[in-house]
Amino acid sequence: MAWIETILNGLMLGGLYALFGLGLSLIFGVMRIANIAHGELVIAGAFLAFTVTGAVPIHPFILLPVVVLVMFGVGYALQAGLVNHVLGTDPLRPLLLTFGLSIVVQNLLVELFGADNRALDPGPLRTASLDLGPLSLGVLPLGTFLVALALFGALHWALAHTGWGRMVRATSDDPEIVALMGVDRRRVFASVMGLSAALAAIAGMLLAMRTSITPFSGTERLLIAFEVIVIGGLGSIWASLLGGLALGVVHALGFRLDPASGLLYGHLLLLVILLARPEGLAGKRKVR
Amino acid sequence: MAERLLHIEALDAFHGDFQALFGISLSLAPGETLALIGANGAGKTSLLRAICGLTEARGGLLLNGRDLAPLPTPERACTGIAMAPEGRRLFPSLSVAENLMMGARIARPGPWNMQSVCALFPILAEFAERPAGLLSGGQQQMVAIGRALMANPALLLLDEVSLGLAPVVVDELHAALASLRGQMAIILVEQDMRRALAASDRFVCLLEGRLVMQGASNGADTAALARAYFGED
Repeated sequence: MAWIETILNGLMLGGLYALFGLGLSLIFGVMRIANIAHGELVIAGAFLAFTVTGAVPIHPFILLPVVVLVMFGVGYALQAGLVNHVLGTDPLRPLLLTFGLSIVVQNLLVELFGADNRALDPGPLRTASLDLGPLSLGVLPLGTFLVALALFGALHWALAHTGWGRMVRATSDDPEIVALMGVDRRRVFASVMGLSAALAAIAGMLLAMRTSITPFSGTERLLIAFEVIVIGGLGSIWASLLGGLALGVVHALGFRLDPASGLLYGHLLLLVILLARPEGLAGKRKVR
Repeated sequence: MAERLLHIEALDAFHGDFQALFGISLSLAPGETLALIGANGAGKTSLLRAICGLTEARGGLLLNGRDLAPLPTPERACTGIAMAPEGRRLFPSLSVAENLMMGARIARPGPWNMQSVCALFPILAEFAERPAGLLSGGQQQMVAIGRALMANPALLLLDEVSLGLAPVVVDELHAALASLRGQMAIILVEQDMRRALAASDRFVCLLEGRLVMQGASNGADTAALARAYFGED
């Protein structure tokens, strides 16, 4: 029974991992760039919440919509003001720009907040648990998992059934030709980066309710986000969910087997996927 | 002088350092169909792309008297220009209906909508929910033309309509295009000279980026046109 509980906890953790990967996957899918600053956007969202909860005693969940809106604006401005200007045929330029951005954001956070560990206080939710017979599940991990599922579902719905989603998919297919339909791809990219930053901020707040973080925690989350989209496979947001759940379960099992090197098992899973199924668990196999 | 919808004056176009067009001048009346004729690399596609703003160009470019030069492609599209580009360039992950809806984003008032496009190409109604990338070449060309029509354009640019398609499909497409004549101004790029002349009011022949011959399509001297096409004196 303990193993089942471990797997369930891994799935809950995987929901959060999937959320780390969701924004990164969205950016890559639409713009074909790897946003190296994605981890810092995750952490910046949490630090924005620290700032507000430090000044006003308010529950983090109530604060969530405000952080989402602010981080959407930050993402939009980053894309419109910086990243759009380096997009083109050379993928190295946005890669280097976002790498530089990640260092700037990291140092800015250290300058403003110091390098100490911080966490958001979710109140009684931190220790609350659901007893399901012989199984016990934490309410916060379960809530995180459900929030992640809801966000995946909402994004899928928005992409599939709204005019904005149609425009995003068309821009992803052919960013030159959408201009003939009056679409300014730079605005589409900015809205997508804004959404990615908002999703990253939600993931950051949920992370900071589970564990303490520092301004340097973004690097590890970026690595997890990359592992999620490689393990799941590119081309679909649901692949990121699958990748996140797989990585979460492997981490949970790894920590149970060997608490000193649980993360190592996640990296091993990545290695196995790259060797055996480079298109990812949900990716389409290329026919030769 | 006849009313002019499009007026191009001494237009040069560039692909990076390579100059694709040299001093092209021509004009087009509302409802007129102009065939662009020329061998591969003559500059036909470059001219259409320059009109849309997809290729860098210098020179006079007016639509209904409005200077298009300072406008980026999305804003030019809003002035009433629509294009079915070479190679169709559909959005493969979108369904046929969604591709058509993309064309209607900046629709001007006019007769073209989902129903009228599907009346022109009935197969599109049958495949409305199918991903556009799964259609045959001919069906994709119908979607590309339908997508452009959905904008109710004043100027329709059709690039290589019949390229790579079976003759029976080309016949079907040209029958549909014949029904469009007079409804809007059309610039048609077509490799088949005979079809191009039959489908147009006037023709322009390009050779290595320069305009070398133009005239009325009806009764055109095809022997002279063939010489101009191949650059023979």
